[in-house]
Amino acid sequence: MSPLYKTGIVVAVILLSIIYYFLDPGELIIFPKCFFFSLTGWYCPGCGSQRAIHHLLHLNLKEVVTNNMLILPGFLLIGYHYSYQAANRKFNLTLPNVLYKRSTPWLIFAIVLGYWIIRNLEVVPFTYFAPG
Amino acid sequence: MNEVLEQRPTAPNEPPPQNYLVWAILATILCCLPLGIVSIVFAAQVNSKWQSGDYTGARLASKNAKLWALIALIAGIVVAGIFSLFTVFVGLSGIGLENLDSWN
Repeated sequence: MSPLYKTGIVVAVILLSIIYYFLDPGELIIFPKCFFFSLTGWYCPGCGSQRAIHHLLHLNLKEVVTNNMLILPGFLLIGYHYSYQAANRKFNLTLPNVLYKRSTPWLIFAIVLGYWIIRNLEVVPFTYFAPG
Repeated sequence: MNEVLEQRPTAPNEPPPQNYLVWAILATILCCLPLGIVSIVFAAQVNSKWQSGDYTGARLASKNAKLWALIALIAGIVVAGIFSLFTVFVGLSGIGLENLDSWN
């Protein structure tokens, strides 16, 4: 990736973080609503992620999990991907390149599909998976 | 010896092509269109094809993973932009934003 790209991504992440810290997507209507949800009335695996990010920036982990359960593990996995090589060099570890393991994408695929299904079930234990 | 080299023009020692799984995950959990899932499937093909020796297939899957992650992210940004413009338009035209609540 070129330095220009990297700078652009860092600037975009900082700007979006500021917006999502100060404005609550759960209160304000200007935030885009999920296209899939607007169209079908069903939740998708990404529904609630804007609210989850707002609460994550406020370190309110309970609200993060309530709105979207994939945000936290997803961000942790991506954080791991960009730091494990540095950690290996610095602390002389042998942490694996998880995202390039054969089964990782399929595992993520299964989790996303499973989450998509269970958060739309209107039976009691599963209603906790719906956002909000 | 030469025949083996010709059958495998690429050294198995070189790193696998990018699977763009980070972008596929971001597209899937940040944005609502199911296009990111297509990218996850291609990322899976990059890993498995590379490890089973199908280097050409792995490179093709890598290109597709990138393409679908890009489509998902761009579609997400476009839909978000249209939604925001629409909300501003509805607000300016005086219909009242509270009417949008019925979309829920």
